[in-house]
Amino acid sequence: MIYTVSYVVVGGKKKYPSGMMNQHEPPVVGDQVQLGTSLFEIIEVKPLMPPSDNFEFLHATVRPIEADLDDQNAETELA
Amino acid sequence: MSEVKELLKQVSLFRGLNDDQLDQVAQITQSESYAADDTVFEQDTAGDKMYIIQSGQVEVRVKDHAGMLNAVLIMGEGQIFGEMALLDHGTRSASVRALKPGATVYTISGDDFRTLCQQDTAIGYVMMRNLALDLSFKIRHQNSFS
Repeated sequence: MIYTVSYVVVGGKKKYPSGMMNQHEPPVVGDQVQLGTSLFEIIEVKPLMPPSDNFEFLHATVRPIEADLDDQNAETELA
Repeated sequence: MSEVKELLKQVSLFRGLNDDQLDQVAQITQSESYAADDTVFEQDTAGDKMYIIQSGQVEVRVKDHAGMLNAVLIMGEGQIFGEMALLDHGTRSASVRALKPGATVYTISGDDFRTLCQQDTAIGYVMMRNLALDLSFKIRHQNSFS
């Protein structure tokens, strides 16, 4: 099975471009994916279109991991 | 030939084609390599070939009202781009550049694509159906923003 995946960054269309790629393994919530030079965590996966032949079409919502690090730094500063 | 055929089997545009048909498609492909930051093509320029990403990632950028290029999409292995110019003969709707560490693509010229589709209408039907499905995928992707 080939997984054709649409990646969208939650709340970040202006800052981060979205992504499209084919994979041999399906995206899994909690896994990381690299789009360009940025690293993201997958937070939701759902079908985008019905499967066809040996292709499955999925939509994954991701969030930037860098943002999490920024948030952690901010929390540290507040503490 | 076997390398490109293996790639074609993993690209949704070519799903449903048998081995002989994939051989015919493989014969009209050309390999191109781009270093990081190399421009593949620029928005508003003429273009008559489509691209299949074998390895690496490319960045799709669109001009805003001020003429500044904004990155809107990252495309990776197995994705196709530049196919709109084959269908509508219009200019490129976006600019595309290779990202680090570079990208290798296969291209199919519009002339070769149309000739193959006309010579073998079974291939033509499958490819046109798959092109429509690929555009459907891209529209659904775009709709997910709203």
